[in-house]
Formats: sequence, structure tokens, C-alpha cells
Amino acid sequence: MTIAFVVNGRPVVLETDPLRRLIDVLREDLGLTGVKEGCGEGECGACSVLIDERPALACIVAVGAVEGRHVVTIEGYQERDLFRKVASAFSETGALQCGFCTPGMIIAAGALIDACPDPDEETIREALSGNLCRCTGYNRIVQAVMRASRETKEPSSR
Amino acid sequence: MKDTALRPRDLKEALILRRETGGILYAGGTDLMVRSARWGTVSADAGRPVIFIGHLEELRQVATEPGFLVIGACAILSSLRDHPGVPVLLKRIIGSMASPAVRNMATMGGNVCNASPAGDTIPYLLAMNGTVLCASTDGQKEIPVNEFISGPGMTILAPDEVVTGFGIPRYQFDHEFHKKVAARRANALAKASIVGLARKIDHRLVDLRLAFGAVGPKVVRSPDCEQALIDSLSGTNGRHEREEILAAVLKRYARILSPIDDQRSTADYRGTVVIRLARHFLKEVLGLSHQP
Repeated sequence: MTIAFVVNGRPVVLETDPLRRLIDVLREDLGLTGVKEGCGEGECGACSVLIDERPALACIVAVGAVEGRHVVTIEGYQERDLFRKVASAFSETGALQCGFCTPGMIIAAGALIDACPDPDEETIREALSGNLCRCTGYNRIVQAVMRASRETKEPSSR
Repeated sequence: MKDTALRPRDLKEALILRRETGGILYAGGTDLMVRSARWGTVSADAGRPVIFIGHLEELRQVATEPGFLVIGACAILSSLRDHPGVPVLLKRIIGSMASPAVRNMATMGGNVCNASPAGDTIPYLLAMNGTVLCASTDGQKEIPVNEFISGPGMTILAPDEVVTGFGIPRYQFDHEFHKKVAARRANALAKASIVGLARKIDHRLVDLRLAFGAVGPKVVRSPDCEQALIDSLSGTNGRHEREEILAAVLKRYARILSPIDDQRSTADYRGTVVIRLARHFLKEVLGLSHQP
């Protein structure tokens, strides 16, 4: 099947099995290895991407289901202003160790800040509830998202 | 090579393809893709193709009709949570499902058609007397949820039919109760769940409904038990009589439920916890929450 969709702002047309997982197409065919495979069954959030601006899990989407849609991986996301704020908050807060969950965490955190510019701790934990991290114990990630949301509100402070 | 999947342009074409191929319907894919990863391929099931329907606009709508609500089978769960016409209780239940990213993909159509005894939206639909709207090239029909689901993982959806949506009667309740018991708040299937609804007029109970999830091959409701509870508050029963009726009804519920041991929980725990939750809700409804 011919599948046409947009990845990180660029149109992509592929002739492939529509039942292949989106994560495999992104990593293997398009070289976008920032999309990580953790559990492979929609439990861990490491493969989070944006599909039409909503976080989604590339390991449980068939590529045939994204026909005509806009997919953004961490590689495309890093062009955004919000990425820079979230990423610097993560590094300044120490919100990562091995980094495997980080692309998914940043996608989920960024989507939260877009939807809710001033999230409280409970809202942040809920927004990140599908993203597992085996290193940090989450507290620093929550602090980083709070810091990023503050800095998004007060651009003059940086 | 034969196509492993089909992508209809609209519902009409989807119904024709479904009739011609009996293909496996792919709505949000969040369960199907996990199962297919275990099988190796989605089409391991007798070589039938997959029919993508998640993109069909006709199936993604939420319509507020007089007296009832129609939820499109392929409306994603997060859009239902944001929709002003969706009842608050259903929004809370959706909030207990999976994780934000999965809710951006998953649909109620998929949740009901998987027909898991632990399916989160099923107790709600059953308690609301909801219906399943099915379409084929021959026309449409409406089936009560309890008839639609015939057993664990089984429905009576015909090989040429597609579920287009769910009809939910608009009905106000004074008491609405939902608990999902699971290993953690996100990304966990229910060990057991319960939905309770009650309506009172002048302290008289006029409607009471209880639906229990993950404690039997199908979601459980008992009209007999519900009627006994309604009657307990409609006569001249004092507190003591009502407490006795409640205890007797809970015993009956315990006999009706048939929970099992599996990797998520034990039969014993499931049965105990849902009866305790039912008692908690019913004591409140029957005005028995506080010691005299």
C-alpha cells in the first residue's frame, strides 16, 4: 500500500506494508532513532510522538493509520521554542539519568504545557502517567516540568 | 502481493469492504496492535485483511439528540473527555483508562468490541441502558449492550457489520458512583470495577442501578437486586429493616458474581472488594452511612 503522511514537517510517501508499526517505519526507514522502543506494548511511553499535535505511541500504531496525518518526533520537536525550554529545564533540574525515556517525557511534558500553561503537581503527574522512568524516581521530572512551565510564562526572565 | 489492509474513504465503502472480506476492524489500534505483536501479525487470524476505520468522520462524531447522546464508535477517548455534551461520570471513567497518549488513540468502539470483562466503559454503558449501533450494507440496527457482548472477548457483531456508535439515554441521577480497582492509577486493567447510579424523589428511591466489571465473564447487573433495594426505601421500612434488606441483597450479589483468579488478582479479592464498594455506595443511597 502507498502511504503518504507528513513527518517533522516534510511529506513522506512510502510503499510498504500498512500493518508495520509506525515506530519501525520511523526508526528503520526514516532513521529517526530518537523514537525509542521500551515495552513495545503501549505501557511505557518511550516511543511517544505527536500525531496531529496530540501525544501518541508509535509502537501501537500501524503506519497505515497515519495516512494524511502529521507526525512529529523528538527530532522535529527540537526545532520548537518550547523544546528548548523543556530540555533546558530537564538538564538544569537533573531530570534524567540514562536518557532513554527523555524524548517521550519531553513530548508529553510539552503537550501538557501547550494545553495547560500553569499545571500543578497533580496535573503534571497525570500528564506523565504513561511515561515510565527507571532512573529518576520522577520527582525531578515533575520539578523540571514546573520549571519549564514557569519559564514559558515569563519569557523575559531568561 | 495481496493487501494486508484496506483503507475505505467513507463509511459506505467500509461497509462494502466489510461485507466482501469480513476484515478485522482497526479503530484506534491500541489493543489490536498489542495482540498482533504477540501473534506476529494482525492477519494471523485466518488471513483476513485489516480494515482501517478510525479515520472515518462519520464514526468520530458526538451528537446530542433529544433524550439521548450518540457517541461515535471511533471518537477518540480524549476528545470525549473534552466534549461538553459527554456526561461527567463517563469523563471520569475515561480518565481512569490507560494513559493520556493511549487515550489520544483509543476509542469506545474498540473498548466495547474487545468485550473484555474488564473493559472500562462497559459497566457504564450497561448501567445507563446504553445501546450499540451497528450498520451493514443492509441497514442499521440497535442492540442493548448486554446482548451485544455475548461472553469474554465475544460479541454478536456479524461479519458484515460495523459498530458505528453508542446510544446513551440522557437521564439524571442524584448519586453517581464509580470505582476502578487496579494495580496503579495509569495503564492498568481493572481487577474489578463498579458503577452505581441512583435517583431519588422526595427521599423515595425511584431508580437504582449497579454494574460490576471484571467479576464474571460479562459485566453483571441484576434487575431483581436493584428492585429489592428500591423497594427497601419506598415503603415504611425503618433503619433496621433497610439494613437487613441491604445485607440480604449484598449476599445475593455475592452469589451472582463469578470472579476468577488470574495474573491481575484473585477471585476472593475481586468478590470481596466489589461487594464492599457496593455496600459503601448503597449505604449512602439508603441513608445508612452514619450511625444513628
